[in-house]
Amino acid sequence: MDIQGAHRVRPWVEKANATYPVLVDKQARVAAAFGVDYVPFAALIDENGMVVQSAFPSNIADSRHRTAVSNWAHTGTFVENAGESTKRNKAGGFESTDAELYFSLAGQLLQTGETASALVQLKNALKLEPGNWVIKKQIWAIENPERFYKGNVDYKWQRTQLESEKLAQTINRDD
Amino acid sequence: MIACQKTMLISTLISGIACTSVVVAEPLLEATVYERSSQTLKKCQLLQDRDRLYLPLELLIEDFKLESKPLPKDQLGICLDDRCIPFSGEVGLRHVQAQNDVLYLSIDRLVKGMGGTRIWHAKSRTLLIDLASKPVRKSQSANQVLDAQLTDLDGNPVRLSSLHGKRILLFAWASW
Repeated sequence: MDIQGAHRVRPWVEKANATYPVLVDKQARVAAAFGVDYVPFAALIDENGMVVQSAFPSNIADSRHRTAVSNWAHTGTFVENAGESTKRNKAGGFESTDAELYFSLAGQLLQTGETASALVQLKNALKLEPGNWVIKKQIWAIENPERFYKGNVDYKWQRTQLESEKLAQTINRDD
Repeated sequence: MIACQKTMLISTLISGIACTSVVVAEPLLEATVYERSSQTLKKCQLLQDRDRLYLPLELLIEDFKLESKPLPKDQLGICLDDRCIPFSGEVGLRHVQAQNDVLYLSIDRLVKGMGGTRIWHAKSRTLLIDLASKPVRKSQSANQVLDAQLTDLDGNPVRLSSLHGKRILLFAWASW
């Protein structure tokens, strides 16, 4: 879901020795279609192209979750995992939002190398949906590639960044 | 006779109407137009009439890939797949403007009729449009996802619909 494109994705796919097809969604169409503002998520689509399970947070470290998905793949029956929290999708359900439209324009601009313009549009998107993690992290990743694409992702930096952004917000509110 | 010779489509669409209606010159506005479904991103001239924005018909046909189709009662529609907006007849023509041999259609009429969305970002003079924003819900067709233009790691276009007949576990992730 990194809208910067394949060059940001390939190293991770190679590191994981992925055997499944990996596709890049440069215009964030899939997240928009399902109305989600977080990663990772999964969705199940049956052999007739019908949605069996719309986007849900997918934790592959959870063995019950893995079993449920694997059972579906073999039998076509999906039993929802009662223990797993069902994270909300965006208010109003699945309508395309203005934030997603700005976000997808940013994807288009990145394809033509207009990074500065893309960042402007990403920030327009974030203004509308301040709690959208996909947009927020995409901005961070573009502005601070050294924290995201050199070896491991620097989660400690992300926590610090989040704190300082919250602080800046508080100060702006007080003004 | 103002805008009747440009193309067959235009002349049919406005036959006898834009030609007879009073056309007041409105200011043209240089803007960036983005339409999501067709991946259109280009600069073009919009027509602004009070708070309303109008897009050149040529952009809708050439770039947004909309089609003109005949509708019942001799009306002409601008269509995206099976969704059509009448732009002729008494009601439809209120949303059409002509200037300097160019026909302009109301963006709000188009977007509302198609069930899409649009944003006018005045500061950067950017018009963002999504003509096809249909929701994807459980027990519904996943066409919007299946037909989405995705690419493999080598940049080749791939649609999930090519997996028809198989169960698909779609796992969406990012490295961050």
